[in-house]
Amino acid sequence: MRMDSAKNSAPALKPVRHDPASDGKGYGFALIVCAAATAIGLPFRASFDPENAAMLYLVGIALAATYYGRASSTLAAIVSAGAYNFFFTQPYYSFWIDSTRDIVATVLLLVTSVIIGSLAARLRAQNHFLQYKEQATAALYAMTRELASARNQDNMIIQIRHHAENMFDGTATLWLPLDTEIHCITHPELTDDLKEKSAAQFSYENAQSSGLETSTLAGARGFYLPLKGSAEALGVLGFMPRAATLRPDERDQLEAIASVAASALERVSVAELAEKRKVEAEGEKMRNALLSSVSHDLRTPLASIKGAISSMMIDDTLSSDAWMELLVSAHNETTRLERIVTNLLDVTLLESGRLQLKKDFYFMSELVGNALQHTKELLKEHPVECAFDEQMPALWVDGVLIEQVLVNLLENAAKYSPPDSPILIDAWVEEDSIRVIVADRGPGVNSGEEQKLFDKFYRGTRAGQGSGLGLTICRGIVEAHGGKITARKREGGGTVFSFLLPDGHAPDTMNEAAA
Amino acid sequence: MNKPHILIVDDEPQIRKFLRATLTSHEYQVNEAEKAADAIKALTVHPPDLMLLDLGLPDGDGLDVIRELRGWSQLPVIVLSARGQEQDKVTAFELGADDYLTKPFGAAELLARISVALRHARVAASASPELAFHAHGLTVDFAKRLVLVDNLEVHLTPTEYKLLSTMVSHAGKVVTHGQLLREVWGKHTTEQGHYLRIYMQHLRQKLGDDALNPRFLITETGIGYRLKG
Repeated sequence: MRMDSAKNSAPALKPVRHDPASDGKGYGFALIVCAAATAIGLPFRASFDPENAAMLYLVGIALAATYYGRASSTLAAIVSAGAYNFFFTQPYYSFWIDSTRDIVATVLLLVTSVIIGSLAARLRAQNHFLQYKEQATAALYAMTRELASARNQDNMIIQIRHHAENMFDGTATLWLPLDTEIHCITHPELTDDLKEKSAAQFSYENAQSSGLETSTLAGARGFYLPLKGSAEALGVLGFMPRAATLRPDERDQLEAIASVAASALERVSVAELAEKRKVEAEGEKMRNALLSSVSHDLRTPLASIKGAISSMMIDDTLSSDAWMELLVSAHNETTRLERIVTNLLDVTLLESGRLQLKKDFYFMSELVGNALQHTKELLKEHPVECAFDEQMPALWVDGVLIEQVLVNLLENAAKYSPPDSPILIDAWVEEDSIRVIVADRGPGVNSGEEQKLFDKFYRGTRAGQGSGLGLTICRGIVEAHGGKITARKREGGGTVFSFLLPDGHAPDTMNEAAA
Repeated sequence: MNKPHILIVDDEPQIRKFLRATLTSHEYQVNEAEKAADAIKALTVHPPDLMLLDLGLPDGDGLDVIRELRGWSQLPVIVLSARGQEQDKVTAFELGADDYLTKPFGAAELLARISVALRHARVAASASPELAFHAHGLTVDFAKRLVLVDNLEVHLTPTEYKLLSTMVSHAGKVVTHGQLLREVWGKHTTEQGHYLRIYMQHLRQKLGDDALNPRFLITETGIGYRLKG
């Protein structure tokens, strides 16, 4: 599609070249206008002055000069002078001239016609040149416009080549550096052509034109121009004219193309670089956040453990109470460390996309029962109310992972709500899915923070210690099940975490004869 | 009475050190192996009373050790595994492992699991097929086909009874979903997997057991069930 529009918008330039066929036509035309002037003048020969016939010839000469240029008008001038002499001066039908007046008239006709022809021809050449310039400018403009909309380098290279070949008769080549060596992108086989490659390489390294009709490596078939970026050459534009010669105006035009191409390429490479930098910077930011979070979270418990154990090792005056206290602290910190490492591994697994769900049927009560078992220590100070109907349909989920979601939500609730405040777990059927909620009486979630809570390393404004990963894992797991997890303010204070899970599409209750 | 003899198979020296220290101070004799090949050798040369087996061994799979061992011995095997190896655990149980501990684990849990496993092994060895099962208030009298919870009779359907008696015959051990389906229904399909959950739910209700806080039947998520022994 793009190429089509490019074809339409870029007028093909037909350069003014010396054309023998056009000369032939010009001579033919010269003879025809002379014959016509003679034919028109002859019937009036008796009734008007021969000078009037000379005017007729001048009209023909001017026409020949305008349409076919100097060669045609010169021939017309000579033939006209002859014809004038032959048909219109006394004696008729002879090249002999009687009167001095007629001699002067004939000579004047010849001189005037040569001058008119020459002037008209120059005008014509200027006109042609202007037309050519206009076309060249239009073509260049079209190319600039096309390149401005190109979004990547490959696209751009195709366009540059297409435009150059549209404007000139020949082959356009584009060369880009790979490390320091220049390679032909459009015609890879040219990279192995020593003459062309050397010329292109020279242009690239010296930011100068080279090759055909230049003083450097003139033996090359192509003319090479550096694509000059703001700092260095970005590549090389080559052109191999079919005619194996290059006119100065073609050179100028190619230089204009090269400059447009260079700025377009620079724009894209800057944009690509900026994009790459941005991605890198974000990756770096993530890594830094991960590192700082992890190193803090890992170091704190490690410091306590190491401290406790080292003091037990060197200090033999410790009372048995102090000894026990250190041991308990080391043990608790180990548990914390374990949880952080587990979360980190889970997040890594979820983000790697390697997670495979092992779905099976699970009853809500089984999953919640196990989750409560795992969080028994943390939930010592929080009564948990399970409000769901134990007869509700089975879930069709990866039980291990959903249990992890429940554990993380319970841990979260325990961490952020005051002692003795109850935690509610409820679930119900919603169309083909099962809605699960975990609600606490903690500080609640600030509006605007509802989604951020699930972001990696996000710690709510009122949060205490945590890895900032627990809720991220919940979201990852729920989304892997095709569900969505949300947090919202709970009526009467606290936070409600809520998610939807697929139900097991349970077969109807089985009938079994009672024993 | 002789000190029970335990074989530790783990490639991590620090874990072996911790296990040895814990076990020797609790009246166990300990032998160690680092690799699967060493473990097989140790099992044949000096058969232990119980094996603690790490599943991720450098020279091969811990699962292969169980497979080979079960060809000639029923000695209890407790699998030590990392989290996230549910599939390996299922395979281990199907191959005949008795219990598992997920690393990291504490000493108390380790000792409790070992003593349960050893007790089961002793009972299994001494028995003549058991006539009755008693634990935590649950009684199953096989001769009379009678189930009592806290001395009150519970009426079960034939399938429920079969399910319970299968759990009882593996009491204390994890029984995988696949094992239950094969032993109770004789086949294994996804659809049946759902039936199993439903029957288990019914059985729990009749036994007055709460899945949220189980008294008899424990759910091992992703693996199967275990009857407290």
